[in-house]
Amino acid sequence: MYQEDRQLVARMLAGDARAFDAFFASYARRLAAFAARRTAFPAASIEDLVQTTLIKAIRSLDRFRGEAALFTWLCEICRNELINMQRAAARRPEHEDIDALVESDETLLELRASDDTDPLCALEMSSHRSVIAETLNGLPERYARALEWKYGDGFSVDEIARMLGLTTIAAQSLLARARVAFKQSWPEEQPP
Amino acid sequence: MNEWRPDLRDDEDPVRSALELGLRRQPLDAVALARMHARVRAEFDSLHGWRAGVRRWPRRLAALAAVLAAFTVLAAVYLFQAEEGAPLGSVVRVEHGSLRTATNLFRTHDLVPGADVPSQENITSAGTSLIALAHGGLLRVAPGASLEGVGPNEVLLHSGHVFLDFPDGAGQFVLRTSAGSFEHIGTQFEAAVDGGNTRIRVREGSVRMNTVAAVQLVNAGTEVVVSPAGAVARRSLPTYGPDWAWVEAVAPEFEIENRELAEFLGWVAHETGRHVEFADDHARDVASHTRLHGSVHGLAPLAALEQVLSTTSLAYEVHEEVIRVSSRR
Repeated sequence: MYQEDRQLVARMLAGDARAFDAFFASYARRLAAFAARRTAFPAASIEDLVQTTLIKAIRSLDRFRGEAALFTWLCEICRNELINMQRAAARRPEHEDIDALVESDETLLELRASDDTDPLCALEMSSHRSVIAETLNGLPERYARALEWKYGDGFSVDEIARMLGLTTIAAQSLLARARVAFKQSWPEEQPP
Repeated sequence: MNEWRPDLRDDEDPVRSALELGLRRQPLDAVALARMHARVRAEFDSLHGWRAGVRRWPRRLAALAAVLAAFTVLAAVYLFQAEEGAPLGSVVRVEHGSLRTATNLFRTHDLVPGADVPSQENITSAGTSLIALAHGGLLRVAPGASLEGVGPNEVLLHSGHVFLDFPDGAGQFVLRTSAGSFEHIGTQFEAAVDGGNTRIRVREGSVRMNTVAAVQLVNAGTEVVVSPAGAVARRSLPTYGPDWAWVEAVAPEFEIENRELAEFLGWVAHETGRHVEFADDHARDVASHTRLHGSVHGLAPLAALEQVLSTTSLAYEVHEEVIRVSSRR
């Protein structure tokens, strides 16, 4: 199983630069999208996260056994890195004397709106994403994962079949059932 | 907000549209990807490129040593951080929607009143929730908020609105967002994360704000917005009124049975961001000598005030930040 993934990794371990380029082209964007769905970090942090994930993967390529799809393996590394990053942000050291601050004057600055995002659109998108995530959370895990790969990451049915260890027809059938389940679980009313 | 919502009953396309719109998000542009490609490629070349072959074994031995050292450090850190696994607090109330914790995107369970709120798990609130913090204080969570308890003294807010309220003498508690950390100094404050911006509104006391750019104090009656780039904007803000409506709606219950009226008035003032003034000495005497009976269960603070004072010889009026209590004439 996952023969193509194992071959790609074997070529990379042998120093094949074209294999590396194919690996990067296949997974960098998808990992960024995967991470962006799971955090509110800004783009620069997502870039750091995906870069760290890929570098760790490159360093651990010889440990990829092909027991899961390469993308699944990368997502696991990314998930761990995301947790590390959130914890690191949470433990940022503090370094100033509070007494000095109490004595200092507050600075009054102009209130500025974000110039690249319409807040209402952002709110609507955020709300829509929440509804989608809630609906997916209510589905069987296999359905949710197949829908996320198909519509979130843009994998083809053949790729999804390969990642799930199914035939193409079985993967099509799984996606069809997942879509029906999603449709049935879709809430009648949007949340406020 | 309902404008976009497709009718999913017709055919497959609306399902695809809904999922693609909701799930497809590409935060990196071509320049960022090219930059990343160069860095990762450099790592690949150094490890697996043909030049790396001759030095691979020494590198692997070094990696093994590094792994052993890292394992030792992690074990030590784990032993000294047993507290980290302690819960953030316990659920007091959940209304109008679930309070859900998730270890990953597909594994979730709903928290009910009385349940511990675990640390280091993502928590999302579909409705409003009230959480009693493990080391004192209350955390109110607005609909749509997403957060994570780092430990009993810290919470990481990913998105949405929360409100923190600490009694006198409460221990240290830090709220963190992607913009920095916010530590209460005897305070009530609201924090919101939306579209990368972090907004803090302080209702009482002060908050110490530690961002990449600076450490600053934010005092009561101030709103601060920190942009993703770290720019800080401030403005004055009333500590009462419609801006705080959702907070008042999630106020903790006040058991009035056998409590002094003055104590009840203090609760109303605290929960509405106002202060109480007595118009005459008689009103002050009545407040300090009257014991209450019954219940104001389910009532918001001002509605509870209306109900309680209707059974006494006192009247009240609310004018901006003042609740003025007087004798009935």
